[in-house]
Amino acid sequence: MRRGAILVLLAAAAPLEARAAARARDGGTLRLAVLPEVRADRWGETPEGAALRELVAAPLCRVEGGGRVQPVLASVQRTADGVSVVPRPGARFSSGAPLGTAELAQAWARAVERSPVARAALGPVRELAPTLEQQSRGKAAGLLLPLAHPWPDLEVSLCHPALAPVLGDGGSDGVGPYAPDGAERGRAVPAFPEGRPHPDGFLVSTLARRAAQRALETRSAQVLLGDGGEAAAPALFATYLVSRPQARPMVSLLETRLDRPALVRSFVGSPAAAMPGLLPPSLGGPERSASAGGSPGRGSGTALLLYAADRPGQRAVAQRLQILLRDAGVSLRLGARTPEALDRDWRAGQGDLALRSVLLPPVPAAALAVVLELAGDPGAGRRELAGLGALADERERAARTRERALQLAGALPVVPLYVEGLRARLDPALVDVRRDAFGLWTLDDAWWP
Amino acid sequence: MAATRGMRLRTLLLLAFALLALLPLAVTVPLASRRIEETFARELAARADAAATLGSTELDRLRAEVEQSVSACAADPLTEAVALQLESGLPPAADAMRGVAEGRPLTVLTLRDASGVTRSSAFLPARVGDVEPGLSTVRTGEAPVLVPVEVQNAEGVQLRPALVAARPVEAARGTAILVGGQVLDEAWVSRLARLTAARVELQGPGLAPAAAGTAEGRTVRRALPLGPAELTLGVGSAAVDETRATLLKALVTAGALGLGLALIAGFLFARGITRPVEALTEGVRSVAGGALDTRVPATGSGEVRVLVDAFNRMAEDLGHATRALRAAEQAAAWEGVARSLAHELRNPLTPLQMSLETLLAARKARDGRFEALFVESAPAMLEEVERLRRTIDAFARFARLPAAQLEPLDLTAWTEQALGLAGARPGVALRWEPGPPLAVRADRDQLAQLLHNLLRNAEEAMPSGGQVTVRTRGDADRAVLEVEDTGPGIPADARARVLEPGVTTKASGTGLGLALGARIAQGHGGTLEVDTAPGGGALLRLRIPREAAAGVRLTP
Repeated sequence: MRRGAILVLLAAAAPLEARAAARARDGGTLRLAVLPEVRADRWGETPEGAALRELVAAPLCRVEGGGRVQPVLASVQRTADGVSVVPRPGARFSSGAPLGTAELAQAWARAVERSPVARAALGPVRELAPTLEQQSRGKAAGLLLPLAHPWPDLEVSLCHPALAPVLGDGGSDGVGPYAPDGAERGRAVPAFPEGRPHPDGFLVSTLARRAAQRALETRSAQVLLGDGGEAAAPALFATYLVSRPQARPMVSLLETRLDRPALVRSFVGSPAAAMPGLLPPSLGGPERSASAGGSPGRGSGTALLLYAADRPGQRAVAQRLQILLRDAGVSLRLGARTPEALDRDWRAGQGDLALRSVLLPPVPAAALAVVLELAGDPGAGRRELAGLGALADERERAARTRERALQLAGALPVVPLYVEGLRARLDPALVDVRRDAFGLWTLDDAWWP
Repeated sequence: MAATRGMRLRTLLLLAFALLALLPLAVTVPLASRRIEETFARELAARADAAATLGSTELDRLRAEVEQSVSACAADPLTEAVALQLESGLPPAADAMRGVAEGRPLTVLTLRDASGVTRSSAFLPARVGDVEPGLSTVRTGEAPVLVPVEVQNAEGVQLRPALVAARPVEAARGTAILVGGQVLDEAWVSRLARLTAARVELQGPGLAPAAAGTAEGRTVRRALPLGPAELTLGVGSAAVDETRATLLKALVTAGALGLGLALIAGFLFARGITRPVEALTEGVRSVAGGALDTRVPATGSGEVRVLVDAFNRMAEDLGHATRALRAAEQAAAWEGVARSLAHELRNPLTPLQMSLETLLAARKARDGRFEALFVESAPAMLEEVERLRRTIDAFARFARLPAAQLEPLDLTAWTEQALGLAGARPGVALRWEPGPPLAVRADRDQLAQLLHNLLRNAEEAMPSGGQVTVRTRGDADRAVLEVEDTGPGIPADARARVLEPGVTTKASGTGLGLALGARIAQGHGGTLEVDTAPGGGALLRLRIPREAAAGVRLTP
């Protein structure tokens, strides 16, 4: 990808004697070891799953560390009343179908059905469903998205992995630097708009934690997804406890007993941090919670907590919440769901409580939009976002967003619990693996001497 | 009645045989049942004791297994590594002990620090950071004890009893204590139920109850106290009850079979006895009905055979005597008839003889009155000859009475019609008192002869006139026709014989009219009775059987 640009940079940065040795060479196979839970993340909703999935389903654009949006599959252009998303020429799905506005509209129509992040990202679009439905049948050069209110952070939101265009319901027919070649392999796509990746392909091995660690140590794997991680990296994979109105007393009981740092330390593991506010610390949210005050109360009754069965952290936290509520006199049943079923069932009214984990966009206002989507009150959310979107200055908007997040913390049926970063380790010999603003590694530029 | 008595005898004999067959059953079945009950109750108690012993043995085995496993886990390098991590101040993973528990028969395995706080747990990592109430009470070095532990699943958290032991992790110099054991959960209870073939219940205050196995029927229980819980093993009596029921069923079946055989034997025996008696009864009935040639087949033996032979001899003797008596009666009757006939013949013969002798004497003496005498005597002689002819005709009719040709008719209507044709002699009034319709079977000609004779008899009894009343009536099973006159009546001493041939109370008459009427009545299965009317006259009453009115088409 962008091989020429990289070579130019390398040529500028390296001494002439080293240029030949450091030059990226095409060929070889990128070997990845992934834990089972990463493999199970079919739609790339976790950071590890998203990093793996981007190999075959790249996002529309990338947000670089400085916040700059770099188009990958499409460019986003502002229009009088919204934006126009224009696919890049030559972008094709792994099945061979070209990426057009109709395909993009169809992919997003499916994405908003299963992902709260996609719903939040496209939330400011006026009459979203009819708009997507109408343009999924047309052949315009650009996908026109009229906005209901000003929303300066739309470009960043559209770069979210949840909006990576994918055809069909299988989740694998995306537009990526690699095309799937069976369940465990991928082969380089020469016509990828960003240029073909250096390796000829990749190989994914699903291993238990210890085996995966050994594979990395013995260099039989170059990338390990699901273990390790850097505490200093952006952590945007936030987990919230959402509740129905009838479960608010139980939530209050929980909050008096909840020790977020202990929860993270014992049941989540690093890289993760307690998240006392609606926004994670990496987006300016509070790092320490105010004291709940008072002695833990007691209650009664029963409740059902839905959680994602494929996420070990969620399972452990759900069990911990069950214990805490039992100590408070409440019987909590646990309902394990797949992530898709969890979203569908929760929206259908099942369960009293649910653990929702979402990869937040790397800007506060867009992240708050996701939180408001989890709260389940579209009208109030749109009003809140319209107020924030009216602030054109990025810093002023971010500050206002943090202020509103603090104010909304007690009012929304959303209890922030913790936030996680990407759990991954790399072979030190791997070159040109960069981290984007979501905290994800971009592996399609990777190569090794 | 005799048949009923015969049936009774047979029934009595059958009942006697049934009683004889039931008596041993009535005595032996309750005794055997009680004995079976006692035996099976002992068996049930023995099974319950054996189940309790097995349960105790299983608990002992479990204690030994827990003790050994927990000691082995405490010395496991992985446990030591986790404990050393804890000692160094780094919190181990909540489920770090899961690797230690793998492959070991433990369902509780927790590493706690010196203050009792759970630091890692293989089966309840959600408790990390807390003091588990049950496990914190277990002291190191002691034998496994039963404490309530929390068991977590999707449905919630339950308290269940567990046999646990605590051992210090030596590598951590007492800062880490390993607590492990086995939860006595439903799986364990089910295994124990299979092992002991009993219903096992494990319960205690605050504990989630666990039960497995079945104990149907009456249950004998044995309780094993286990500290905070109680283990109860119950053995049901269903299998024992089934065996007992089978035995009792066999006993009753055998009894029923014996009873059935006894009844069959009794029936055959009773029939052997009662058959000759019934035949004898039937023979007596036949003989009483006049069938003197009846003989009872000489079956049976012993006293019954002797009785049958005696009866046959008696019937034979009675037949002889009856025939002799009948011959004598017939002879006497014929004597009467002959005497009457002689009398009737002699009466006209004497005037005839005297007239002829007078005429012969006049003829011989050439008496000039011969012609006058002849003319005077000839009509009288002809009258006597006519009288002789009538007498002979009457006897001829009496002797030649044919068998009655019975046909259905209404006696009242027929009588009314017959009276209309008959009329009455001048000076005699005929009074008709009809009764209800009376269905009978009768020979019209013979009935007309009978009515004619009765009317003639009444008229002749009233030479100076009077009244003849004819009436019909019916009683329960007989139709009655009465002819009553206002004559002098029949003297009481003559009533018994007036129906015999040749017997008459009148100066003239053959004495055959009423005898013929009596024979006609007999031919219709009825009787002709002689009685005295309230006014003193003669009353002759014909009684013949009535026919059922339904289905009989009546004609006059």
